[in-house]
Amino acid sequence: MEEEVRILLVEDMPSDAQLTHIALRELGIANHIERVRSGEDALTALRNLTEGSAAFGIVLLDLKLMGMDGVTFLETAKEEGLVEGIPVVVLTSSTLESDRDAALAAGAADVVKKTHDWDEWVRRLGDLLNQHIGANSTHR
Amino acid sequence: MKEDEGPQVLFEGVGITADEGFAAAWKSELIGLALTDHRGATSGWNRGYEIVAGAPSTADPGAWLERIHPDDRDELLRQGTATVRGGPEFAARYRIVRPHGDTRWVHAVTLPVVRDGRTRALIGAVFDITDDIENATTVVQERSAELEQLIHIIAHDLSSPLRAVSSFAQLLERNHAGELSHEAQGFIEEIVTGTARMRELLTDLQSYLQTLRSDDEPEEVDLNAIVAECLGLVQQAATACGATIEVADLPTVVGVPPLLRAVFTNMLTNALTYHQPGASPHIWLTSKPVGNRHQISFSDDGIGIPAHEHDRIMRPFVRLHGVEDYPGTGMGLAIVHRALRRHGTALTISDRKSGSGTTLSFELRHPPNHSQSLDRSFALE
Repeated sequence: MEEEVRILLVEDMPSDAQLTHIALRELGIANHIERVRSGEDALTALRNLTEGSAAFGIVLLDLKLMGMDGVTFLETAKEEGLVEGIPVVVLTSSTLESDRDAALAAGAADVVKKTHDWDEWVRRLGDLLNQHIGANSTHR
Repeated sequence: MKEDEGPQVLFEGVGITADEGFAAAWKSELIGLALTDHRGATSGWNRGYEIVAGAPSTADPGAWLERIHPDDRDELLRQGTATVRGGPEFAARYRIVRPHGDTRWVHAVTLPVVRDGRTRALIGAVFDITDDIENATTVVQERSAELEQLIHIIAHDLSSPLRAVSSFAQLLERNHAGELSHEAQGFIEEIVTGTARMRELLTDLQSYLQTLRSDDEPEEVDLNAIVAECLGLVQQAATACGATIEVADLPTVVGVPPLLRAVFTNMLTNALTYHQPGASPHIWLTSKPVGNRHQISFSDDGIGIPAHEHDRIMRPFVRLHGVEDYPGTGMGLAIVHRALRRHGTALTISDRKSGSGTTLSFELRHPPNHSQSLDRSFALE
């Protein structure tokens, strides 16, 4: 990618987090990811930003998390003004329209289905990073 | 039983007259009784009726119908008219809208009083069953919430680890194939194939469970639009096997759109899958009116379904052929069957009348007229 972007990855499942890491590595942006395991930890990470650290360029959010779920995190983060100017993109395994609708209603910039086809998943991830933060993938 | 002796004798047997027996029922506050003439004009009602339904505002023929919930009027008028014209007594559940606007569910029995072969009057007995209906509704809502949770578990919790297995297997195959023996690479292929099949099963199980949900309200649905959407979904498969699909002009019916999409998509997918080896499938979709319903028929010239399997094939995960011969999960007709049950109709499977193949047929309701064009009195004469 042409410029460095910090990514906040909110994902409680180690295997899913690892797969997102590998996909981002294939896209050439693996060194800029901070992973947290819960919505509460994500709120803390965003609150700490106000104390002077570099802002996140994007938040990649799983919907079903231990403790606070993704939609509640998103609503809280919006309410507290923690994600102003930061696109929050939901990555989900869910096939339910209702999950997608709830995420968009809570203010998600996009909802991306975690596909079972690896190449398709990397392509989708590359497209959404390009669309929301202009990260140009060198992948393929 | 001493039924043959007549009610008069029975009452006299316990020392009262039939009039006294009926008068006791008429005084009841627990049984609502109303009397109408053969035109539907209310001539009297007891205290029990007033408690359930409120006093009728007028005795005009057909005025009673104003009290019936609009969605229940057509059916009740149809049954009442049939009884006045010599039909039998009938029992029905419907909603009464009371004078102050609140709605009560009643179970009602309507009895014709016949003299000289003609119906002279109707006696209606109504019982308030609102509490029972509300309790049953609560149970349905609880089951619906549990079902929703199960659908969510399938959509997310079961799908997520499956995706992990599939993705890591694909990464192994793509990035480390050179380090693995030929046999090990074969094992990876089996993992990828197995997870893909598991995903199909979960997707179809989710679709099946969604047909059991009770919170989707029926609405007026143009079947032409629904079928057009479904044809779009199967277009790739239809083109691949060179299918010819003939769709007649279809009616507007009462239905739940996502369920009807599931019905037509699964019927189309089945027909495109189970076609004669080496031949391009031909599919016909037609409809014809039957009373206040439309019969929809879906025929193909495929390999057919043996008659003795017609019931079994509507159960979940039942396959009549090996996966290597015909792909699929065995959920197609189970989903169709359940989705149609939700519409109060049944799926009929039969051999196509000419040539090989199968005809699937079912009936869907025509949208109601809300009584506006119906004669509000029984108008016997």
